Amino acid sequence: MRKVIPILVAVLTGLTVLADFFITHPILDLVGRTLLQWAMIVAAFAFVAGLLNIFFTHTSRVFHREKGWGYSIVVILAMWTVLVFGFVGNGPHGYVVSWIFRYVQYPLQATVMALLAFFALSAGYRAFRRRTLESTIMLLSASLVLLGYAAIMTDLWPVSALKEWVLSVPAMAGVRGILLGVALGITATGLRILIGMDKPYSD
Amino acid sequence: MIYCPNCGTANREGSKYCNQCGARLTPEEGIRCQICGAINSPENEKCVNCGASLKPAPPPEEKPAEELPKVPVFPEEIILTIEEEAPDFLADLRAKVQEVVLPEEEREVVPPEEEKPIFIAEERYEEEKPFEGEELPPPPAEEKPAVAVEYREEELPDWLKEAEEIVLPPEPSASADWLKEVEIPWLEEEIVEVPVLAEIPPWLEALRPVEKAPEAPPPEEEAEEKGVLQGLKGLLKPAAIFGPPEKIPLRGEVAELSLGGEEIQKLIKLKPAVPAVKIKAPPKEIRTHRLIHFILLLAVLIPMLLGWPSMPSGSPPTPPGVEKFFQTVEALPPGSFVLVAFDYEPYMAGEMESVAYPVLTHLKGKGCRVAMISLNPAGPALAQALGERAGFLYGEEFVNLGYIPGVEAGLRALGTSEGWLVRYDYLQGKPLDSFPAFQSVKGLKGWNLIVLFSGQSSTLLGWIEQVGSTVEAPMVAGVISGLKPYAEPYLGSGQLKGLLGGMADAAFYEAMLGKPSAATRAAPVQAFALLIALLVILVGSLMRGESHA
Repeated sequence: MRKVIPILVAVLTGLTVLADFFITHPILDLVGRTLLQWAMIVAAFAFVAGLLNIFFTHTSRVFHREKGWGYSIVVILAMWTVLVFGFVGNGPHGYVVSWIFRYVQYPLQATVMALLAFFALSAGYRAFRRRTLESTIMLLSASLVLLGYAAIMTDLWPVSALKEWVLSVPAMAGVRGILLGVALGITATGLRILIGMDKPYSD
Repeated sequence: MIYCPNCGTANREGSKYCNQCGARLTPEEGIRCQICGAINSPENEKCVNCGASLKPAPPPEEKPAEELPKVPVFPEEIILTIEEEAPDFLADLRAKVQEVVLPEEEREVVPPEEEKPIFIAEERYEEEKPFEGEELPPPPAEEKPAVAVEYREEELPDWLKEAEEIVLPPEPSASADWLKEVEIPWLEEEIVEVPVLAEIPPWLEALRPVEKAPEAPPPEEEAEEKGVLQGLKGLLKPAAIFGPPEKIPLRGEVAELSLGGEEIQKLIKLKPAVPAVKIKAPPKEIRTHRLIHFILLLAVLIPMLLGWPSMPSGSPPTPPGVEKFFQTVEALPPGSFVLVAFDYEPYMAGEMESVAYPVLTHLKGKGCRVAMISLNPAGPALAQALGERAGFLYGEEFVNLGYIPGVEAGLRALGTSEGWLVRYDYLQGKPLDSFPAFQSVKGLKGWNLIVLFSGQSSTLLGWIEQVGSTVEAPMVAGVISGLKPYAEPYLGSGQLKGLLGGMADAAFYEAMLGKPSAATRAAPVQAFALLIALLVILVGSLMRGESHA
C-alpha cells in the first residue's frame, strides 16, 4: 500500500493536468488550476528546504572546524542578515536588502561571470587544435562564427554574412534536432511516469 | 695431513681413502689380515683392525680337527648381530670368515668393543669402516683435549666475570678422559679464542661501569613561603610544559653514551637552519595562460578607456530578428499593455540590461503600460531597477508582479488563470486590482505584447511552449548571445515575432531607435575583444599544431 498510493496520486494528478490541457471543462479547469497552484507552492517551499540545508551544512562545518569553515561563517552571517532585514524591513525591496542586492550580489555575480571569459579563452587556446578532420572542422566553424560576431560591429562586417549562414543553416539544423530529441524524450518520460513505470517521486 | 696421490686433496691424518676422489691413501704392501682383510705393517703381529693374529696358522697336527677349540673372531653377540642386521656386503664378508684356532693366551686379546661409548663405535663404523683388506688408523700419538678453548680467567676483569651474559664452562671432569681421545674434526677447526683485555672492543669498553662518587647528602628542602601550602616541605616543583627534554641516563652512567647524549642535547638546542626561499618559476603552460589573460584584459580595457573602436562606418545589414522585433514594438498603439518577463540572473545583467534597456525605452516612447514578471527570484529586483531607469512611473506606467515559482507549472498556471495569478505587487504590496492603469488586464488576457528577456533556455522554452499556445498576444524575445541559436528556430517558425541576441543586436536596435546607449558603446569593444580572442586561438592552434599538450 505504501508503494501503490504514491503511484496512484502521481498518475491521477498527471492525467488530470494533461486532460485539462486538451479538454475545456469548468470542473476540469478548476481542478487543473488548483493542482498547478499547489505545484507552485511546493516549488516555493523548495527554497525554504534549500535555505535550511545551507544553514545546517555550514553550521556543521563551523562546529567541526572543517576546511574553509571561515567562509561558512560568512555565508551564515550573510544569510541571517538578509533574512532579518527582509522580515524587519520592507520585504525584498527594502532599503537594506535592495542595497545588498545592488552593491554586493549584483557586482559579485557579474565579476564571476566576467572571469569566465578569461577561462574560456584559455580553454579555447588549448582545445582548438588540428588533431583530426573533425577538430579541424570545428576549429574553422568556431573561428568563422566568432569572426562573424566580431565583424558585425567593425568594418569587416561583410564577413558576418558567412556567420549568418553558419548559424541559420547547419547550426539551426543541429539545434532543431536537439529540440526535437528533447521533446520526444520529455514525451516518453511523461508517459512512463503516467503509467507508473518511472517513479522519480519515490526515489 | 695426507695428500691424495690422485687429486692432491689434503686429508686428515690416518685417513685411508681420499675424501674428494675416494682413491686409496695407504699402500697395499704389508700383511693382509686373513680375518678382516686389513693391510698391516710387516712387523705387526696382530691386525690393527680386528686384532686377529697375523702369524700364519701352525700346520695341523695329527690330532683330529674336531677336538680343537673353535673360537670365533668376534664375540658371539656381534656375530648374532651381523647375522641378523648386517647388509649384504657384510654377509659376504661373513662368508669369508674362517674359523681360526687361537692359542689359549691370545683368546682374550680381542678388544672389548662394548666398553666404548656407543656413538663413538657407530661413528667409527660409519666413517672409518674400511673396505675389505683396509687397516684401521693408528691410535693418536698424544692426547688432545676435545675442545681447544682457552680461558684466561686471570686476565678477565672482575666486572666481566660477573656479567650474566658470559658463563664460564665447567672444568672438564676426570670422568670424561675418554672424550679427550676423540677427534672431532669440526670442533678442531672452530677454535674459540677469548680476547684478552687489551683486545676488548670499544663498545664493550663503553659498558664498563663508572665508579660513582659517594653521594652527597640531599639538601634540605625548602618550605613553601606562600599560598595555601605555606610551611610544607617536599613538594614537587612545577614542571615546564614546553622545553628541551631532560637528560635521561641510558642504562647507567656510561661514558661514551653520555657523550652521545650531550651531543643530542646540543642538536636539540640548535635552531634549524631556515632554508633559503627559492621562488620556483611557474610552468610554461601557466605562463602562457597568464599571458593570454593579460592580452584579453588589455583588449577590453584599452578600447573602453580610449573610446575606440566605434560603430562601423559602412551600413551593415540589420539582422532580421532585430528588424522584426523593432517593427513589432513600433506597431503597438499608444497605451498598449505589454507583459515583460525578466528571466535572467544578476551575473547576466551586464549583457541583458544592454538588450532590455533600448526595448523599454522604445515602449516608454510608445506610451505603453508595462507589467514586469519573473520566473527567477532575483528577477523582480532587476526589473524594478531597469523600469525606473527607463523612466516609467510606477503604478501608472508599469507595475512589478514579482516572482512566479515553478517555471513550467507557474507559466501554465499563469496561462490558465482567470484573474491575476499574483495578487499583490512586488514593490508596495498592494492588491493588483488597486492599480487603475491595469484594470483591463487579468492574467494573460488583454495583453498586446509579451516581451521575454531570458538568459536560460528553460525559461525561454517554457514561455514559448506553455504560454505561447494559450495567448493571442505576439511574443518577442531578447536573449544573451549564447542563447540565440536556440531561439532562432522559434523565430523561423513564427512563434517569436522578433529576436534580439546579445549586445550586437541591441546596438542595432539602438541604431534603429535613434537613441544610442550602452549597447552602442559596448558592442564595438566586445567585437574587438572577440577578434583578439580569435587571433589568440588561431595562433595557439598554429603553434601547437597537432601535438598533444
